[in-house]
Parts: sequence; structure tokens; C-alpha cells
Amino acid sequence: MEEKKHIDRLYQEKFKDFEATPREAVWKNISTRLQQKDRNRKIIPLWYRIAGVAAVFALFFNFAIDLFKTPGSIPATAATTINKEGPKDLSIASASYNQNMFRSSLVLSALIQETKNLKAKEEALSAQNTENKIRNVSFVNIIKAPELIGSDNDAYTFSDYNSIALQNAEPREEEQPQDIELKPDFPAITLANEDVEDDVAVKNISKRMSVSTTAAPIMYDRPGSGSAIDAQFANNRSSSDVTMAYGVNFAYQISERIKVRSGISKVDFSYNTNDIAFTAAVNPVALSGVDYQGEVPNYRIENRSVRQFSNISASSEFNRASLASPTSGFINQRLGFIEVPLEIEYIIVDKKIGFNIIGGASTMFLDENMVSLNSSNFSTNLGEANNINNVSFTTNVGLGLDYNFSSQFQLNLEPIFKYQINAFNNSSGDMNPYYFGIYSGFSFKF
Amino acid sequence: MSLKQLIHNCKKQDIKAQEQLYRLYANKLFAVCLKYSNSYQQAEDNLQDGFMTIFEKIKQYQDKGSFEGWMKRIMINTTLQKYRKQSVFDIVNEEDLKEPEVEIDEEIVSVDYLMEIIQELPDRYRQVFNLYAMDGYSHKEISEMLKITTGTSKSNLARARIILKEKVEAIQLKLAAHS
Repeated sequence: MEEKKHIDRLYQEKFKDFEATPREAVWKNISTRLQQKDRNRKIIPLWYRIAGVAAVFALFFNFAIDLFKTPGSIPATAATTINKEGPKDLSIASASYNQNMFRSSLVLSALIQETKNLKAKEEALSAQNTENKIRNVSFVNIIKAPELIGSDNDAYTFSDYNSIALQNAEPREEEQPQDIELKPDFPAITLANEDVEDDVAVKNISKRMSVSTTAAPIMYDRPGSGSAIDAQFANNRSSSDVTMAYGVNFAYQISERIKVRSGISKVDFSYNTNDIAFTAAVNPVALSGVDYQGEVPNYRIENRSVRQFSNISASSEFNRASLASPTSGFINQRLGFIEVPLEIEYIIVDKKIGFNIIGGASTMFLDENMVSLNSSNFSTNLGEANNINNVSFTTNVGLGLDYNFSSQFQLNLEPIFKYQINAFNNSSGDMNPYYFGIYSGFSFKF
Repeated sequence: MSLKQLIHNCKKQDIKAQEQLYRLYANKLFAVCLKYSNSYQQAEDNLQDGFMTIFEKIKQYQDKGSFEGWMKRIMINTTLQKYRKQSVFDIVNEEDLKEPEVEIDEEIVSVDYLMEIIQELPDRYRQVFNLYAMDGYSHKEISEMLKITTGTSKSNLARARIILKEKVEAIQLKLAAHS
């Protein structure tokens, strides 16, 4: 029976109850992908926990070394014994730091490799699934002789689709074609935009926490006049050794642009007062800034520019000994702090390469405090500085550069400047130390 | 198990619930994929990807409105995304915008054939025809979904209709000649 119909109406009617059964392979592929996703979800948190434990152990090893040092093991007296091995104490400390950092970086590089392997496996599996689909299924050529269809029902039979519903198609009651109400099922909204927004919103919320490890070379200085060791060295040339700081940070992203972070780290400073001269002396004068552990060592330590030696008249054997030519050297002050920062990161760029501004403050807890007398082939501990506050603070400002290997794994590079407040309680002079570090490390987001 | 319970279990990533949901709706959703795709194999791929998206996004489903409609929307979007980078044709001829009538002998023209010719259409024409003629979206909605103008949507629809009409008439002639 021929009739005129709009092409739209033709399609609407023919496809009204149209259904088709996909091949079983489709479900097999879906279930494989679901199981793979499930496995990945379980494995990755385990690695985060291992990373956290490794970082904590790295910190612990460093502290443990200090704990195992018994107090007073370093002799502070014995004027006649010259420690030829020189700055051995200092080099052991830094060697252990380097060792711990090396261990941490080994663990981290193993984690990086494992994450890469998991990703590669997932990609290989999905690529394999695509290839496994049967290629030879093609649309059957249906230009053929028409099949006789009974006129007492309106069921449509298919040659190629295993249609369950159509076998049970209800006969149409009305003769005239009606407007087929398809729309009510589907709310009239902008689908494409909605989905895009959903994805963006989900991306922002899903990975808010991160843990990162950092290591940094530190440059330390105390501008201003004065000396923490003794007033006589107020105008001496000073210098600072590059030392290391390392630690663990935890961050929480509270909004699209702002992250709050804290953590714990160990930072050491090594500060030298140069151009000093010393000589063995019977009646040494104690340096005002040093707290000697035990007797004051028999050294006369003076500013090399002050030529006092030539004015001393030796009246006895002992005094004559002080006329011996002085050895020039430097006083080293080594300070170690445990730093607990509280900082805010303001994110400016958040793409493959990220850029942010960092600001905040840290609380510094004094952990290590040592003053030593050094020359080119000699070093001896004098004691501790007595004018350093146990708790002090810094204000921090810096920049951060991030490279995102993946949505979870990131490399950080952060130069940060920290200005130390109330480091000294009654120093000889007016000094406000600062330090600058280039913090680098890895972050895991979860 | 009720549909509500099934959805609840799917939210917890229960694989048995996910399979049951698939079995319940695969036939209907595969029909959607076939209409919107340009081949049987593409339709299978789209069905897989669509279900993966459904299982992922089911956590966000709020029990508002028709669940089947929600799934169908996701399936349509999945297929649309596959062809997002296609170029669009912009020339609009006013005469073409009329809905053509076709002389049709419904006993001859099977769904198989109608499916074949709709899959043969250029992707954009097929999408617009499906969305407008079969799923009831307006040109405004279609223009937002496909990021085209309403004018383009109308002209794509018109062209799709012309091609389909010509092919339906052609096959009828061919079949009539054989009989």
C-alpha cells in the first residue's frame, strides 16, 4: 500500500520500538575494562602509603644519627692535642645527609617506574581490546527480494538484528499517524556544555591532597653588623657554606587557585666568621657568645686585625708561649633546625607546566648548635652558641614551578626566600639572618 | 531487585550489578548507537565507551527524571564526541528547508534498509536528522550540542531528508522492477 509520508514520520514510525542485541564480546570488553580500572584504583593508594613511609623513614634516619651521638663525646679541651683529621665531624654529618637523600631518591625513582608501568599496561590492554574486535562484521546487503509480510499485524521482521522487542511488537491501535511523543523523556538542556562543565568541575575536586618530598641547597647569611660569637668579631668578614635542607610537605587544595600546605623539614646552616687568629694560651679568654661544655679550651682567639701579640711582654715561660705566631683560621657556627612551615600557594598557571606564588611562615625549632674553631688542617669544637633562641620564626616568600608528569605525579622546583625573626636573644649587634633555598622534589596527588 | 537498588549497587562499583544493568538496557542503547554511528563496528565501540561513561558517572546520578533517558543522553553524547572534529557545511538554501514528502510503500522498505541509508549519510547530517526527527531536539538545542549555528542545523537536516528520500524512492523503484 503506497502512501505519502514525510520522511521524518517514516523514520519515527519504523524506529519507534527498534532494539538490537549487541554481540557478547561487547560485554566482555566492558567487564575487562571495569576490572582493570578497579585494580588500578587499589594499587595506586598502596604506593602512596609506601612513599609516605619511605619519606618518614628518611627523616627518621637523620634524627636517629643525632640521637645516637652521646653528649660530651667531642673533647673540648686538650690544648696540646691538635686534631689532625681536621673537619671530620662536619663531613660525617653531611655524608649521612647525602646518604639519606640518596635512599629517598632510590625509593622515589622505583615509584616513578612502577606508576609508568601500570599506565603502560593499561594502554596496552585497551589497545589489545580494540584489535580483538571482529573486523569482518559488515552490514549485510539488504537489497534483496522483499519478504511477504502478513497484513494482519504490524510487526517488522529483521534479517540481521536479533530484536527481542520487535517480536513482541504491539499492533498499532490508531489508523492515522500521530505525533510520536519522543521529547518528554529527554529534558531540553544543553548536553554538550553540561558535560564539559561536569568534567572540569570533577577534575578540580577529585585530587585535592598531595604529599611531596623536598630537598634544597641552602644559602644562609646574616646581614647587618655584629657577631653572634663575640663582639670583637663584629666587623669580621663572614661567609656561609652551602648546606642542605630536606623534608616532607603535605598540601590541600582548598579552591581552584589556592593550596594550603605544611610539613616538616630539617634545615642546617653553616656560618663562618673569618679572619681570626688563635694561639695556644694558658689563660684563655672565653668568647662571650659561646657556651663551653666543660673547661674553656686553651686557645686565645682573637681578631687577626688586632695586633696585640707584639705588645705582650713575656715575663715567664708560660707567657712566652703566647708569643708563638698565631694560626689564622675561622670560627664555624653550625645550626640545625626543624622547620614546620605553614604556607599558601597561589596558583597562576595550572597546565602541564604549572607556576605559582608561595607565601607563609615557618616555626623553627633549634636542634643542633655547635661552634668550632678551624684552620686549614685543624678543627676543634668549642661548644654551643648561647644566644640562639630555641624557637624562632621565619617569613617565607617564593615561586613555584611544577612539571606534571601525569595528573597524579609532579616534579617541583621552588626557589624560596625565608627571613628569620628573633633568631638571637641578645646577640652582640643587630642581625637578622635569612636563607634562600631552591627546593626541588616530587609530589603525589590523591 | 528494583531499579533503584540496582543503581545503588552500581554506584558502589558492584560488577554483578553493572552486568545486570547492561543486560537490561543494552538492546535499547545499542539501537541508539546504531542510528548515530556510521557502521556496525562503530556502534559497538560507541556502546562500550558509552557504558564505561555511564558506570563512571552513575555516582552523580541523582534519581531525578528518567534513568533510561539519562543513559540515552550519555550514549548520544558519546557518539557525538566521536565526530566532533568534522567540518560543517554552512550554505543554506531556503527551498531545501521544506520537509520533503516521499511516496512510500511501507511493506517494501524495511528497517534494515532505512538503517543502512541513515548510516551512509555524512556524519553531521545523520546526527542532526537523528536528534531532530527521531529524538525530538530543537534546532537551538542541536546547535548548542554540536557547536553549530541553527542555520547550519536546519540546512543539514534538509539535506539529510533529501538524500534519504531519494534513496528510499530509488530502492522502491528497484524492488518494483524486480517483482
